[in-house]
Amino acid sequence: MKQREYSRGIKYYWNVWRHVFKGGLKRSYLYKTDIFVRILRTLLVVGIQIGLLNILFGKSEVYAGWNKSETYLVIGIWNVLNYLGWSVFSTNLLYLESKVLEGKFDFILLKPLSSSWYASFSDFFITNFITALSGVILIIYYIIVEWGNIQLLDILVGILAICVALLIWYAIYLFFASFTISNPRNGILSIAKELLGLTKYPMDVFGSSLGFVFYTVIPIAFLTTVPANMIRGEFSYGFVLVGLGISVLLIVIANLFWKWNIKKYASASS
Amino acid sequence: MYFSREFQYRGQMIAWILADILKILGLCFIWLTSAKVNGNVEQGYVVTYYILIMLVSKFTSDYTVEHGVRNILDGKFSNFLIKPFNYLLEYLGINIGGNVLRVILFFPAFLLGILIAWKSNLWIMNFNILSIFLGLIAIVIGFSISFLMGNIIALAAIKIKEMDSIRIFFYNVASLLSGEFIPLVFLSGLTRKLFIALPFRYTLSFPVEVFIADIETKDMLLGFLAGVTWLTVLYFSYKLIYKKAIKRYEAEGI
Repeated sequence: MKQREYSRGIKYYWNVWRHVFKGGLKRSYLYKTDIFVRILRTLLVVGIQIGLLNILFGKSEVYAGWNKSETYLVIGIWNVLNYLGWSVFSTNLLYLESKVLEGKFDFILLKPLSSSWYASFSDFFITNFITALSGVILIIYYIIVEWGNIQLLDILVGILAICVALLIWYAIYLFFASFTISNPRNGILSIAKELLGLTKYPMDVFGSSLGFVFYTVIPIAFLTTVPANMIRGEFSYGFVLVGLGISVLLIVIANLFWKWNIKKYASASS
Repeated sequence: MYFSREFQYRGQMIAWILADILKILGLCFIWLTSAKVNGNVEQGYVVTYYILIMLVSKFTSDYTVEHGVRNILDGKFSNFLIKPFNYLLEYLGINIGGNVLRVILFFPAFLLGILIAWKSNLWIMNFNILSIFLGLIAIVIGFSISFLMGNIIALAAIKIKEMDSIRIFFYNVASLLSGEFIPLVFLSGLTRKLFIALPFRYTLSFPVEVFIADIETKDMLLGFLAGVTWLTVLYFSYKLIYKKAIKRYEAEGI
């Protein structure tokens, strides 16, 4: 299917997303049990992660070159990226499959917006946003504990690196989700989910050979390990620029594959 | 019938298996590093444990929390209720059909995993007929526990309509306490006792421990006893909950 291209300004997209966000907030009033369970889950997530790290460390002070509070930082960044992603775009891209199967994807193509943008950001899930707060708690914990050893500028650059990481996270999801359009029920998004799940721990865990792969061929090190190293003051600021370049490249590639898969979309269900 | 239906989407299932391998490989690296750092657990044990976890999870997984909940919310559950046999029998068929296909598709990767671990001196399981037989019994008990837990959780959909968070919460708890995230061998004290007391261990970790045969006879017997006890408790709990829940079922999805 050939899609008509629409070019709209950032302001237009921002206004659309503001309405999506408000709709998501309003829906949260309907499902109070869900919100309660999510809050409980947030506590469970933090509890599990802290417990797990304590067991991983055992009696040792250092784990793969990272101390305990530094690994809390890595997990905190992962929680922010993962749950913020689920609240803003991952869930929408996950539901893309049912939209394609039910023929509802045609309506996305007919909207006067970028189809990849609308498929990614058409709904907002407040419940996942609540769980993302567990990451913020862990990052703040690290900053408080290491306050004397870290610099404010490193923290700010680290936050910038987290924003860049979110772009890479989105690009990876969009790339894998795009194949759902031409070939639904391919299960490929679960590979993306587990690939991104590997970044919950510092990349040093995987040794030097795999670590090299994760910095170059599959650059998932830029998701959590690089931002954490920026905040620790271990990496130069140039890594943010490299990360930004990677994110732009991946978004371009993901959009190209999106368009390529749309051309192969048959709209059989409708 | 359900095997054939699942076979139609074998590509999806292969992707799920690949995703599962990726997840378990990640966990394997994480615990290997911990074993290296602390020196408290043999590295071969970690590798063998996770290779077996991948296989056993294909046998003992239950997907009722996915499709059972969906059936209740869509009102399709009514179709199952009017059939001249218990709906659990059909759910059992759905799960077994899917699991058999998963095991078949995963088996080449499992053999490759054993070969790589063997060559690297990281495979510690001896192919003992008795431990394999006992392990298979533990798998049957484990699957039955998973199946009953899944069905109990699914019944909650009769009352609670937004089940996503509960489903994910259940998966989180199950992954944590079944031995997938944390192998029992790394635990000590009260956490270990809690892990042993709860039913989740018997759905995954226990069958693997029996296969590896790195468990004392007394502990193994206690494990089987605990598994059967949980199975009985869950069965009667399911009966009780079903009796109460079905009175509230309104088939509103129709």
